[in-house]
Amino acid sequence: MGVRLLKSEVEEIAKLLNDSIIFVGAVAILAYLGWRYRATQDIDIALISLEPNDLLKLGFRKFKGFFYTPSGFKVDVYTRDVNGIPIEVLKEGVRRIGVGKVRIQVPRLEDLILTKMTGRARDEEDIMELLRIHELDWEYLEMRFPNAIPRLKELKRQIDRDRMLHHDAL
Amino acid sequence: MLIRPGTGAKLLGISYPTLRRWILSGRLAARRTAGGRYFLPDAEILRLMVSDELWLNVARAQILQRRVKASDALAKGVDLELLERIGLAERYDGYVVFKECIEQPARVLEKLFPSLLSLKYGIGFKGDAEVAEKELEGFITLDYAAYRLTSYQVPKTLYIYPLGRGTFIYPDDFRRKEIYLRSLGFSPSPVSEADVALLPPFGDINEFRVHLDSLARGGRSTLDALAIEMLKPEMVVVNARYPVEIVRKVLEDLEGMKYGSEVAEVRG
Repeated sequence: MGVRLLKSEVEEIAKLLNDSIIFVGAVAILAYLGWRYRATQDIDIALISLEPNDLLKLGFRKFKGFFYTPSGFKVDVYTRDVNGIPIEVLKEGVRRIGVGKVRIQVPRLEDLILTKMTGRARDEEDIMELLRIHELDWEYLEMRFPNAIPRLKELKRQIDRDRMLHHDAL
Repeated sequence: MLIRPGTGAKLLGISYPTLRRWILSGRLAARRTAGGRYFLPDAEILRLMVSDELWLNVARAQILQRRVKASDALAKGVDLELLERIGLAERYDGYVVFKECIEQPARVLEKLFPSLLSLKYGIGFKGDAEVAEKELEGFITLDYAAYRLTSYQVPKTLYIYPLGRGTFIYPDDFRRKEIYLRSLGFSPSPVSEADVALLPPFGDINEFRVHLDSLARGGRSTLDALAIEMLKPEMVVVNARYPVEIVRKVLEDLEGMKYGSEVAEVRG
């Protein structure tokens, strides 16, 4: 299952659930990066106006505690918060990004990055990839999550340093 | 691979005259070309880099957090320069970040040193990965190789060891591939942002290298390393140690993929 399949699956889910969910995790990152990035093929969604059981009525399946889309992709479902960021907060700043013929809902970039600030190496890699391409709204972060700023600035400087040193090979 | 004496001195953290002395005294087995120039086999460089002192510093670093103030690490007696030279540590902004693999047991870590060096000295390019794969003769590792083995994480960068004829290449061959890629319209970029990355082939390049490189690279590639251990044990020369959260994630994902493909099959 490559990124193309994942993209069409996301399109299908968006057609089915549209405004009642926000895509978080890998799908949101891929949407911000134009679908060019390393990711596993699981789909993370935050429910805004649905209950997890409503998904079953729409053809989703449940297996060993996880939800699967009608065509068999694993879906992680968040109902209250995503790594500590309440879904209400994600909902306030929601952005719409086009995927094929539909537009999917994703958190604003700053919120998405905060959901990834877990300290794990693979999550930091995701954050750096986003920081390489996008500028952050520092004022928003200052207002809402000032504690995250020092680490994000550090990562940003790390990217600039990589760019400066990239020719320094053998 | 054969390395120029100047680069060898840099890798070993010694001066050029000292390196010359080591060659002439036989402490370092160099090769001499017909024209009288010296080249150093990478195995020799690695042999001298991996010393008791290195292991002592690895042990000191293992008791620290993965990211600490450089001054704190120095106060604990960690020789950061030594760890940086082999690619186990990087300094940013007054902090030092140790590679994830530094926490691996010595039996694993000793196998990762060639990969760490290759990753440290890799060079990156922006351009079409498919074109590069067609045009370059070499061994593909990391993202693309792991994806072909496991179908797990979608690949991003084409990492390739450009191999010439024979079992080793000269650094000049590595440079020649770089010039060739530029002539095809590829533009230089940091490896972390690259579509194609050329890695100098330190150590043996064989089928076990994909797993070892994934472990050495860390980050998302750690998931690949574990997926390879689970799905392709015959491609693994040494079993690594993984944090529980990584094991849980990969297990769940692989089980999900298996279940997903079963569902897809039923649905036809």
